[in-house]
Amino acid sequence: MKKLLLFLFVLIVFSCHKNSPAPNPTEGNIVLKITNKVNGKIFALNQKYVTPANDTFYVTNYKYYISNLQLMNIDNGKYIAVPNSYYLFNAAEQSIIPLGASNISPGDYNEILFSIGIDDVRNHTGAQTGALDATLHSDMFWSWNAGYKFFVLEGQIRNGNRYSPFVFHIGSDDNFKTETFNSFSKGWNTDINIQAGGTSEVDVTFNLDSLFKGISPDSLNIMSGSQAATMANNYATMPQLTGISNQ
Amino acid sequence: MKYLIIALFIFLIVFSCKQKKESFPSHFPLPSRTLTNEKEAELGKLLFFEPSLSGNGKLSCASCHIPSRAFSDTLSFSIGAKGELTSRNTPSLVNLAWAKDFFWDGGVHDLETQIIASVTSAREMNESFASILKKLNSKKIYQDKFREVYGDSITGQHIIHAIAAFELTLVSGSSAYDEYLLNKNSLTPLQEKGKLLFEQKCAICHTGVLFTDNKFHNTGLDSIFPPMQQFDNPLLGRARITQNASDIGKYRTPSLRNLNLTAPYMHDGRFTTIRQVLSHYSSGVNKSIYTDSLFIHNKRTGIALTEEDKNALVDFLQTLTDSTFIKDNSSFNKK
Repeated sequence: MKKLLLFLFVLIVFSCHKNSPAPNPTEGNIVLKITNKVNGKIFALNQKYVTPANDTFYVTNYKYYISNLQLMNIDNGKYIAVPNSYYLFNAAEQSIIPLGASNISPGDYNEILFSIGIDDVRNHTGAQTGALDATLHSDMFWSWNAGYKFFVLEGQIRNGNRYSPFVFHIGSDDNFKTETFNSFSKGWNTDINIQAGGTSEVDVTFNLDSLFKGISPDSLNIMSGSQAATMANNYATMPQLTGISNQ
Repeated sequence: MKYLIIALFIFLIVFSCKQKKESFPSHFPLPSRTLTNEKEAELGKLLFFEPSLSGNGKLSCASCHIPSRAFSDTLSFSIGAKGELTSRNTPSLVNLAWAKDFFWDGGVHDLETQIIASVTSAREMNESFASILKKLNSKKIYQDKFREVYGDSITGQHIIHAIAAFELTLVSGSSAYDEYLLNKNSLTPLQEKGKLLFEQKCAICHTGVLFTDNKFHNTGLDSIFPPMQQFDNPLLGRARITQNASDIGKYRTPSLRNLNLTAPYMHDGRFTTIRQVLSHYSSGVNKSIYTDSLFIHNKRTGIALTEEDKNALVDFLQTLTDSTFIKDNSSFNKK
């Protein structure tokens, strides 16, 4: 009888057990701050800029996915992959992206990684939540060939005397690009030193100028194939590290 | 006290171990997905028949996936909410719990994403989820049902999951052929002959009780295709998805269940009778560099079939009609 009661008690306790997410002051925060620039200025929609080939253009829609934020210490192998880190940047709503993650184990990290686009594990279904909810963000998802548009840039570019529309929609697993910054990178002024209760900020600039390299002004609709691959290689060169601060 | 505790304990065990009724026929392989919540499927059924899901408020999923036609329709191409034609023939919705790829070209790999595609496509239902949410939120029955099933307000994700849950219940496995497999009845001599012919000549692609290999084939319907440069031309078939020229003109092998109800046939609905389909395979297969090698032999292209063979095959294929499946799903208010 006592055994039975004990068993029942254990059963109930076990079934009601919850991981109580008590605030843990022993962990810290990381912020990846991305500033979008073009022609050396803060990017804005509907402003005139020039491509490296000196063609005037303006942008009416600019969106892209950032994902898979990771921190590493390449000396001791300490590694953190921030779970569920998928962010959709929309120039119509923001000019700077602060990508935050809390519960980071304190310590010294000398490498940070993030990706432009969606990894192949998560790329092929629209039945997901948050930034990947394809019912909310249907303009960033090809539902007939299931996959996300990693990078979308639309606008007008001057072609002779008149403006022509351009549409760049880049996706597909091959065009998923991972950025790596570490102590060998330009702009690395200090290691990322996460302190308990503190916040470390990594500042990165995305320079849109790089996007147009090798893109002919005659190719105004790029959605797949080798032109899309060229453009993906270009957006992989957009991010530049501008500094790190630890607080 | 002791008995009360024991009774409670037994109740707990029985309740937690209650066996769910098998939701698929015993002679079928294990499905890749199973239904977990019948309430969710009931809500999905309501949504499947809901015209608010279309841009013109007139089309529901069931407008083109008509239950009495085994969830297909009678047209080569269906007419969408904007009056445009679909680019491919509406497929029958059957045994989707076993399916791996959706659409004729396999561009989608889960039911939920297929639903997003059909709802938002300008050629199909031509509606946005933002607009659907507004329309459904104005109906108390939906507010209540979503609250009941998900404990939440109406969201796009809940909508697609509910419809997918309903689609998992569209299991057809009680045709005369199934009864035969379960030794509950027998086939006529002509049907027996057709079954043997089918096993020799058709089952390599229309495999097993599901009648599909879940693969993609170019069955020689055409000999001329668009070039790969036209990367999103639907006539590229599977190659439109893979961007691989070796997939030009390939389409997913459809199930043949309820074949009698699902005319017209092929990805573009070009054939109106089963006999025309058989004639294509016996004497109409076009030979191109893209035609599946299964159809290319030393002396001939296609599958050798006499007129008697075709009679027997047509007769055998009638046994795949599942009247219970049609009756059970004839409308949303009957369970």
